[in-house]
Amino acid sequence: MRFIAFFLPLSLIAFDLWADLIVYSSRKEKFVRPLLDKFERETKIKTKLLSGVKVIKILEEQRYPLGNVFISNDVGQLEFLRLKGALKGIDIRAEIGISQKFRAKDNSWVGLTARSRILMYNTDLISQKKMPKTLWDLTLPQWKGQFAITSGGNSSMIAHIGALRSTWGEKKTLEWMKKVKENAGAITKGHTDIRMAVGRGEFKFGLVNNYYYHLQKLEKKHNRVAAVYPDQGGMGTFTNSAGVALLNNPKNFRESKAFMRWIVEKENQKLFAHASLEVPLNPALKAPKEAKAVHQYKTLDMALDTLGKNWPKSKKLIERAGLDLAVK
Amino acid sequence: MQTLSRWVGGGYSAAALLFSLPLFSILQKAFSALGVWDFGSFQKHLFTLLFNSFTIVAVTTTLSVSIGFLLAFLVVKTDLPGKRFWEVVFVLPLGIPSYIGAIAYISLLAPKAILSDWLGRELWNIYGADGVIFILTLFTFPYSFLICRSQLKKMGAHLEESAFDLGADRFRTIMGVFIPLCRPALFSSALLAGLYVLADFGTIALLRFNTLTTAVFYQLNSFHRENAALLGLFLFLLALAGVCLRDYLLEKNHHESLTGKTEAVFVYPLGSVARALALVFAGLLFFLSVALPLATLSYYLFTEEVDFTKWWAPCLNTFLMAFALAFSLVLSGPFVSYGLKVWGNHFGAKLFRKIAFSLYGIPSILLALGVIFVAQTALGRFYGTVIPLAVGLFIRFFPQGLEAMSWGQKSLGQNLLDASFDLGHGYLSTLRRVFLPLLKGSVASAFLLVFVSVLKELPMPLLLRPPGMEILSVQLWIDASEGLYGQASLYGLMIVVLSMLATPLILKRY
Repeated sequence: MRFIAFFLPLSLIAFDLWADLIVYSSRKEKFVRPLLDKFERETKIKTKLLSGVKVIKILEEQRYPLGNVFISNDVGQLEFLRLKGALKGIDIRAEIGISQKFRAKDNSWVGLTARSRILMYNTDLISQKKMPKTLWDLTLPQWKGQFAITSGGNSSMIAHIGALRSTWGEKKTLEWMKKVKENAGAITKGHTDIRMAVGRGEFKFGLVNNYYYHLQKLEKKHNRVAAVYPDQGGMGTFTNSAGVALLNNPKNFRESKAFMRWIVEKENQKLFAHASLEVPLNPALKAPKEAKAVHQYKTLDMALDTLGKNWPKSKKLIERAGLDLAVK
Repeated sequence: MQTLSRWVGGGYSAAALLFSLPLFSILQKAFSALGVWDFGSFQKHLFTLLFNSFTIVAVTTTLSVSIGFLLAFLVVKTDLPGKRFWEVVFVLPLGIPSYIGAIAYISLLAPKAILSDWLGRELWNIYGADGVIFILTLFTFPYSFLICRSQLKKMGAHLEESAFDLGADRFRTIMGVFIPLCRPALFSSALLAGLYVLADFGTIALLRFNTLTTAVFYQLNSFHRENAALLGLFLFLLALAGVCLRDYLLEKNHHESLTGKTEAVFVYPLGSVARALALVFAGLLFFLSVALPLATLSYYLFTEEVDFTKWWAPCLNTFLMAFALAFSLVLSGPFVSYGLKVWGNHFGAKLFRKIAFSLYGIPSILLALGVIFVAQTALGRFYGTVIPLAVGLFIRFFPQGLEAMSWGQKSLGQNLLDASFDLGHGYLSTLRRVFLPLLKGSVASAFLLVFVSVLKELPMPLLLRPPGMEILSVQLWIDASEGLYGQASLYGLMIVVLSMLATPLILKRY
């Protein structure tokens, strides 16, 4: 009894945690792990991975940060963190093949793969010909109740609204949100609900990140889906990006910099993208079979770092449209 | 004696500090939000959100407490066949995270899902308030089942004998004697269930509904920690109001006739019709809250691609985490009883107890952020260890466990502990020889309640676990949130297996 009483708490506290590099990630562990294994092999730097990290955790830890680098699915968030002083700039002299549009001014974050906002549709219910071709089409009465979107509480959606706001201006974006909110058949918390519902045939199509379309294709059932890249004849498809950021943590700074320089090497960029079936932003790298390469379609012309700056304004606009707590 | 008294004082002060610091950090953020006075849509929605939260809490709590009490009564006080089986299975829903239950039911009932596909039409649209109430009732009734079960077990046959001698029939005995005596247990379980519902996010969001808590998550997902804290404070005050109301009602109708002695329980024989009805009722609940969700999980496990390697590390970590917390709750038992006796009626102690318990109404994720804030300054380089996680779990679940244990503790005479110490027994020996034998029922329920709740807890480990430490609930959430239900169901089933292993072991002995 006495033994257990003292041994148990001790064994928990003694849990050894020291590592050369602590990697925070909000991407799936399956995608990140191979990357870290390769990094450890090549540089002999010992890493420790923490998955499922939320941006608010990093903000809360800002005084004495624990993580060294942060791998995220949304660089809008990364720029938001940079503006809050949670990131640190770095010199990257090598030519890495990533356009300035997809990285921070001070290289404190670099986007590596494209996450395009597409309309995924169920091929049993609608043909490509009949599908809406632009985002504005979602406001038309003919689509009433036939598609699904996420609520304005979803960070990909917030980034997307931010992009629309920069392109269309406040008034048009507000009108779009209000109309789409009325028109949508379902407003969900996340994209998983949408890809499942469209796959099952509950709705004809839904607005998702292309990554979810690839996930749905991999399902054994309900996988008869296809994708439309909207606004090809106009402003282009909004393309967000997943990437890596250097956290403002003086501890293990040398190792953190080494990681940043390592991950932007061409073959590592490729590994980063292909592990998750995503499209590399670097045009010199091939896209996975199912996906379109970034240079094959028109992307919305916008520097992603403006998303971070405009985050509070986008949030305000979403609240004005009532899309923040909308559910259906 | 003197030493223990000093230890109790120190221990209580330390606990009070530990509880108040994260709350303080939430308060500080909430006040800075008040200072800016920029709530966006929050003001517009406040009434609706409040109404939604209130409706769901009120209806779910009533249903879940009634069901739990009825089941406990059937299992303890009647000759229902298969008692041992029911006793174990009605604890299991507590080990199924309610959002996993929601996923299971959505994949069955949603339009064009398994069942509706098979029937050719939609059976019931599960989205919305009715679905939320349905799911949350199914996964919260074990609170009242566990607590009422241990309470009923302590009511010896002498109660019935006296009532019958005085000419009361069975119905009057139950209504006039049992319900009043069970009132503390009923109120405790109502609070536990109600606060769980108040602070739930996953289930409610999946079922496309909004409450104050989903509004907290909206603020956090759009990185507005201050507004989130303000909403959290609001939830805390609601919870505090609930706790105060409970305490007021209990003080007004005070019954205390419990002894620590174990006595045979009077068993009401069921007629054949009543027995059949009772079996159908128990069977239905077993089917809806255990069999069906587990069948869905197993279905995913066998039809999807699952990586079966590396399951043991999260399993071991999760078990250790839950066991350590539940075990330390038991260890603290005599200590807390002693404190209750000495200061139980002191204003400060009462207030502290109310506050500590009301923290359960704040979404766990906000508390976790508060713990990060405090642990950063207090721990320095030890921040990256398991200490913050331990503190977070302690704050979150200790009051819950003490609540489950407290109705037993009230009946424990102070003189028994004193006598044991005076006879030269140390703390642990008193715990083992006096405390545990006398309070076994309540302690076992409290242990299970905490153990199983920690097994499935998500936000605390998600935000506070150190790098490299894998926890089942976190792995489960990561996979489930991307819809990779095969892998997720493996972790979900591991949680259920862990609770399934612990439950019979503990309930059998006590």
